[in-house]
Amino acid sequence: MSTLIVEGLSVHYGGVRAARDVSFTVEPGQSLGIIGANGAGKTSTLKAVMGLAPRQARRIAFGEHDLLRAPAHTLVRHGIGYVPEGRHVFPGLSVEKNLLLGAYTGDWKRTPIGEVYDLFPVLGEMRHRLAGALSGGQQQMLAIGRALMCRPRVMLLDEPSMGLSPILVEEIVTGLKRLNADGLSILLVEQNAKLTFDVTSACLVMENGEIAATGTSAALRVDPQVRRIYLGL
Amino acid sequence: MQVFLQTLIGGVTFGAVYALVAMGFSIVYRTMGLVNFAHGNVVMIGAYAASNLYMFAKLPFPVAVAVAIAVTALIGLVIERVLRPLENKDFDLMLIGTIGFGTVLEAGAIRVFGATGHAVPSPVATAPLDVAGIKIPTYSLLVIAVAAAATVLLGLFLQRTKRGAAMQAVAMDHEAATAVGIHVGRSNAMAFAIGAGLAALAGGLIGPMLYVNPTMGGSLGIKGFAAAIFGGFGSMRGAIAGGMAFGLLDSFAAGHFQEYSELVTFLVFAAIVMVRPTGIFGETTVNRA
Repeated sequence: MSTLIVEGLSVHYGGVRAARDVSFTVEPGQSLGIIGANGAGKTSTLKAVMGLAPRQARRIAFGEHDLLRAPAHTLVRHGIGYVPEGRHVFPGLSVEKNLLLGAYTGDWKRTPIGEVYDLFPVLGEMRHRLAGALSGGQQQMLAIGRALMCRPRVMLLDEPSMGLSPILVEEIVTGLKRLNADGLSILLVEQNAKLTFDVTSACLVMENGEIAATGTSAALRVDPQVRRIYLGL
Repeated sequence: MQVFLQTLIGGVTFGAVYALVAMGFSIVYRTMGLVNFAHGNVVMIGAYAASNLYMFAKLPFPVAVAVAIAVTALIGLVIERVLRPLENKDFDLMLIGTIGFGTVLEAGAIRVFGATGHAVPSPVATAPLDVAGIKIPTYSLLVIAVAAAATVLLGLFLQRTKRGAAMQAVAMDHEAATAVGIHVGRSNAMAFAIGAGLAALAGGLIGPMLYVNPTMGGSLGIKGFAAAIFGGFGSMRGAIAGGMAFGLLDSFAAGHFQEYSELVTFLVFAAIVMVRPTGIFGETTVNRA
């Protein structure tokens, strides 16, 4: 099993610093959350891990693979699934094609598409529908399903609750817990702290691009400092 | 009636070629959001390569066109490779880069082939078919059939193959495509190569219908570009519909307005685009501009 290790990660867009000296590890089977208010640098951190944002870091590694030297499109081969913020499904392609593209690097005759339909049955019902025609919640399930198609060992999720109704958020939470229970490591970036505490065992709290607090989800749930960071009091 | 049908056949033949040019524009635009302004000049290079191989190297016409496609596909790959560092970073520079490549190709053609150009004899020598008094040149049928076959093949590639699906995915969301493991640069290179291949096919086919010369790329490029916009830029169906519409417009305008035909064609085009700026299949196109 492989551990995701990030040490001293900084992200700069031109002169703007989005994240500074962020370090964390995701152990095999662990679920780690990164919470914080809008603009705290959560998404930039995740994108930088994926190689999709300009980054400097002492170390980013997954198991024996040095991700600092791996081009972004090779990460999926190492077993890293990514669910981008805002879902980013391929709108003009069918649900099924979207899922199959998740297994782009693998053999399309041996994909876990059945397991994905099993996890989110609505995707199976709509498999011939264009992804752009799905509701927000269904698109989110599709984005998660697409990331699962590469049989990842760790999954990076960016704001999966964004724009979803509470019922759908509940459904996503159930799905994520089930995946985690099956041994998938999860790195979850969220504004929705309650959801994150439900899904993860430990969390980082980010503020102004830096890690402001860390702790178990149970402890952070009642920590007044978290409330302060969130509300800016 | 007879004149009408005769003009119709001519229009469809040119329309098929314009559709090929428009598809080349569209496939690059779809995947990269880039208008390849060198495209018309690539058509010209394709026309030169095919006609020279056919007339002087005495290759059979289909072989000559196939070689021309391979040569221009290579040119497409070179253009993409040179512009790759700018991909998703500086769009304006990329556009200017394609204009530069177009100029280089035109100047190169003048240098190598001379400024005057040459006529290409029709590769099918048989007399035109006579259907109820209307003469259908056999070469027209060949052009339409080849263009249709190329369109079907391209459609199958995009719909049925993994690489085709990946190319569409890159067009829709290049970051998400990267995250699922698609090499965006390679996918773009393929789009450029296919676009250039289509250009060579169009150039090779139009050689015997026009006079092959170094500046033909300008007018063919503009017409193909207009056809692509007409149909809805980035849409493959749109490129076909737009190409056909433009070919017919061109051919009927030529019949009725003679030397003003181009003026009339583009005036009508401008009027339609003003009413419907997204083109015929505009709504369903990817918008990355």
